Amino acid sequence: MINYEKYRLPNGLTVIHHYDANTPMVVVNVLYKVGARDESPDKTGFAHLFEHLMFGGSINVPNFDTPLQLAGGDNNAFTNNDITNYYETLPVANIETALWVESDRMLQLEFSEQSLEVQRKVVCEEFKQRYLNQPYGDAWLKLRPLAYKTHPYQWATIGKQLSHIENASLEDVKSFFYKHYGPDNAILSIAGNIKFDETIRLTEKWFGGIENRNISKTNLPPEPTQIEERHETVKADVPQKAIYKAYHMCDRLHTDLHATDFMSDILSGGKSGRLLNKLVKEQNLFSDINAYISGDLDAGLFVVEGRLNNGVCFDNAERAINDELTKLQQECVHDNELQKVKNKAESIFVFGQLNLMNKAMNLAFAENIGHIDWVNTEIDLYKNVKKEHIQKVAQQILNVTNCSTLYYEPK
Amino acid sequence: MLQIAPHYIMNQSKTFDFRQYPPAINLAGELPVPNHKKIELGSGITLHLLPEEETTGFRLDLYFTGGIKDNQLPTTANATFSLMTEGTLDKSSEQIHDSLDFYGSFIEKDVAYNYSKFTVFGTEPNFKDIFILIKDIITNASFNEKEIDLYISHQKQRLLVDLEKTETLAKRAFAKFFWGNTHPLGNLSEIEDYDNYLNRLSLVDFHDKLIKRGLHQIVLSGCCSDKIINTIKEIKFYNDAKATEYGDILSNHIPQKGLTFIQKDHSIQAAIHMGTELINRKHPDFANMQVVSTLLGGYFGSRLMKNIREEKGYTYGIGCGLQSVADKGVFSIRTEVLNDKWQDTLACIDYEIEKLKTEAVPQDELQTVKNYMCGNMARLFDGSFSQADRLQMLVNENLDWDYFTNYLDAIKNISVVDVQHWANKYLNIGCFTTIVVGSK
Repeated sequence: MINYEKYRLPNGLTVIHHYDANTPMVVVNVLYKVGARDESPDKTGFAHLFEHLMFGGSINVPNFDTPLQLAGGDNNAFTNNDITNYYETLPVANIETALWVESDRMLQLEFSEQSLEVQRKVVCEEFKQRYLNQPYGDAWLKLRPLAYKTHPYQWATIGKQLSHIENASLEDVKSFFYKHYGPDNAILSIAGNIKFDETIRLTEKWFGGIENRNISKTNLPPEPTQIEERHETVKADVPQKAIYKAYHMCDRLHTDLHATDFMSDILSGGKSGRLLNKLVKEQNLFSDINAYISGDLDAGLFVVEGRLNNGVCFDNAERAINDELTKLQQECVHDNELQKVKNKAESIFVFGQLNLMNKAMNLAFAENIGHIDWVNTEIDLYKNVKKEHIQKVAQQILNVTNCSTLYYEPK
Repeated sequence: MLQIAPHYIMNQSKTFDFRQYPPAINLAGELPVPNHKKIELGSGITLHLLPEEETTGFRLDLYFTGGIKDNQLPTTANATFSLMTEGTLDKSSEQIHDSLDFYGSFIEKDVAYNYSKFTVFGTEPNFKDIFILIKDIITNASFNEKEIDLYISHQKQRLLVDLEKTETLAKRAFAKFFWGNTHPLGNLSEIEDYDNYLNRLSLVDFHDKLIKRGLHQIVLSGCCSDKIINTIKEIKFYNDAKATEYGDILSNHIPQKGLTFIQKDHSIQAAIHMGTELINRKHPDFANMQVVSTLLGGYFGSRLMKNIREEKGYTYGIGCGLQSVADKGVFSIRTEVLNDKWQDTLACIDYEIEKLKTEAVPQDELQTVKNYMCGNMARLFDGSFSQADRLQMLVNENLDWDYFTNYLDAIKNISVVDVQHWANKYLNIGCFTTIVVGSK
């Protein structure tokens, strides 16, 4: 059980507190409800570029990292399609240093041309290092626009292309800040050896004076139902063929979510999934194969991806995947298979509660989807999944006209 | 200047003055003393306990004698460890993984130079079933040919993919130049090795001598109930016979110094991997050099990060570190940079090292690094699983918790003069082996 209390400051900032007496540390986690999905199509990669700029100094803190390091702290951040998340861990005695630097950059970032200039370059190098200079690194950059035609999930967090980042201006950056960054669009989660009253006192002190920015939710165009099979082939310098199949699935809060997640676990959870046993070990078609859900807030993707063994053709490989997916539609999964993925989910849940950082983040994530109680109870939703529900989901989504297929072929 | 509503500015001037000054800082004091107990199980095997209240999750680390040092041929240690879970005398690989998954258990394997480690995570209700299965894996692994063939085929595919990465090419070239082809750390597996060298007999032999009879330490962390402890005592994961070590492979290789450029067509960034031999963990200057290394490139605000990422924008990241490997201390610097900026990057690295040697480090910068390192140490002790990670080094290098206390004291006591002194004593750019993989 993760104990927690929730509080809202008059300026709209949501504060979540978790008390853990067994640690000398504290985690301060700030989640902003802005991600790549909130970008405009001609300025993609901004949420992530912005994450970098958030370390470039703010009105009273010329250098973000130094005070934290001086306080024995460590910090980092990440951006995905839905959120931007920042966190610090430091000895609890120095919590005010984290609150100072976090609140100051929420209050007003120091927008400097020099910081922008450098971070544009750094992000471009990150783009290259993580997406372009890796074999198969750009697969998702190709898969997204194939699967999404309307919804902004059609571009990746890093952006559609380098030029959007290269052309980012200081004006763009400023307007992005005031449009998305503010107490009323953030969740502050504090976990550690500090009491609730003290947490609120300090939060009021550091964040209380920041004005509500009346941030309005971006209206996102829903993705229309896909009605035709989509296919694309990419040729690149890779040693083996790869295949990606993406099916549209439900959103994070839909009642099908947990059954869909289990469907991916039954196919490839742990080292005993169906795809590994059948397609890798028995039929020797793939060297690696995986099924997973994208886990997005809005309607996401159910993906099967695999790398083909030498000499195996796409047709045979794809047919074998389709056979496994068809089996899920035709027959209910076995009782012990379902029990297995439930046991695994429960074990992951137990271990997820052991780490202070996990606890702080999970609280913020759960609050962000409007179900903070799920940090403790979502496991029950998993435990209650029925095998018939998995079959129903398979029948609904694992269809040719709902699928985008990407072939990745060696040049 | 930004456009801000007037009342907002007023508000700021009235209440926000305190924001101009950093809050007071309390320095990290003593390290927490881990709740560490030892139980001797006989046959020279120690069970270490690091209990944590209020969890049903446990982690069991089993340490074996066999490591990369015992590789007679490349890949033996890794292959043995990987294939151990792929079949026993009466269970197939599929049955093993199905059971492990059913019990909600997961396994991590780590093959280090001096030892190997098998880590099992599980929850209390299933511990007995998990332990029985793990004992079967350790004592009865069968290494059947079908699984070996599959392993070989997958490893070859993986290596082919890896060899497309400039970072991997640089790392491998460095290992060969630094350790030499006859040292287990420099004798890396090539694609053809998997067919030529990997055979069932070598795996069975390795398993028999260094795993089956090689268990020497067990660490239980998280849930340490009496039931779990008693079962560990009863189940005897080990064999009474002593491990037979292969004996050290002698290598008198002298690292090949200087710059080597390796062409990788169509690469988008150049990978740099450079390093030199320094002192190992047992040396009294080790902690001091960790401070110097951290200053140079061991944290986000380091000099290399400031220069090469934050000022020049050549890279997403650059870092350096001093590691104790195979009784040697290896100091290395790694980064991936713009293709046409690798020379400039090398010049910047050279410049930053020279600067450490010729100019005194500002007091506040040194203080930042010291505080950061102390805070980091506190983080590394947080929770029983983190403490189990720390114990890994202690049990394998015959050290005790004092090591960390002394280390922390050394960090706290280092002065500006010391930094310059250590930098001069140990950092010599002429001694570096430098590999660059990129596209000209």
